[in-house]
Amino acid sequence: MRPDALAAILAMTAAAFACRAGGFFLMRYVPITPRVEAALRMIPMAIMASMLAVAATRGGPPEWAGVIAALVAMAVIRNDFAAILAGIATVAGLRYGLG
Amino acid sequence: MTTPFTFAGALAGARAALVLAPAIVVFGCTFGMLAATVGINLVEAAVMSALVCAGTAQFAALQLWSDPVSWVAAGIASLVMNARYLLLGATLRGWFAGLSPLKAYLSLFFMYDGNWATATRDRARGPVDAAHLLGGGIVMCSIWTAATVAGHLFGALIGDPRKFGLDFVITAFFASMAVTFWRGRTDIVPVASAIVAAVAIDRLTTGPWYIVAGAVAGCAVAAVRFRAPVKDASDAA
Repeated sequence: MRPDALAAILAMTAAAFACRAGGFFLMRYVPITPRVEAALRMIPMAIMASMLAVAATRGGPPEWAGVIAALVAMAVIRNDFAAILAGIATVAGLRYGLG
Repeated sequence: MTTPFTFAGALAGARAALVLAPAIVVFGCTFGMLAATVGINLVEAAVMSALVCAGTAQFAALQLWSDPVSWVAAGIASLVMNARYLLLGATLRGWFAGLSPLKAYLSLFFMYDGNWATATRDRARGPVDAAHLLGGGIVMCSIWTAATVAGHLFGALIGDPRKFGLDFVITAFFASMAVTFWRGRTDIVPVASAIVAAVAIDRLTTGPWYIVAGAVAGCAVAAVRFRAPVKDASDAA
């Protein structure tokens, strides 16, 4: 391993760990009031919604349909594997059909 | 109150993370293949995947890789691409409250989007062993590293994964998560704010800044709209 590559990898590792541990560490100093808790509880849903919205806006009809297929499959079957299968089958099918 | 941290819990986390294995294999192979093309050797690619284990940060590093490579640029790229983990980690304070710092920070080293999501989903249903995150993370990191090696060695033989919709696995996974997390009407306004912020920022920037923007917007709106229960005004901030 070249020294410059090792230095770059270690810098990336340190930066990644600072992000992964930083939020957890800082919350020691933030009192968890009901309002803070309401904000923290919203993070997962906000992150999922952001990822889905951007996947849809960056993509075209196959991705739009794929997001809808996965959401519907999950709402109906309540199984994440089935939802993923419905999503990728829809995307692959439409890409094949439209492309 | 101490949260248990057991081998059985780690195993449950590992099993939950397996649903993401196909996606990790595809992205890991792609990374290994591209790493070979920019002059990162096999050992360097494997060590990077094992230690950094962050897809977006590693793909960003490929863009700036040169001979010699700047550790400052690589570190900054990793900071930018991983900034969203600050918010993910913040949500684990209560769950990890009783853990020793070693267990807590070791688990955080192995925190990725996928195992954080499965842990958070399961925690919404009931108490979850605190080793769930670590178990899932170790499995994910191992698959990611093995796939990187495979991609580096056999990259040229791999066809286009887009044809099979494999690039869509993570999006479909998050769609299934979103259905699980949906709590009804109170979510509508914060979620809409998150979507508007995320799409707008995605237009203006490259990389995963939109996730940070969506998360911050969603939680700021949730905080502003929060109304303490009337009889419980004493501890409302």
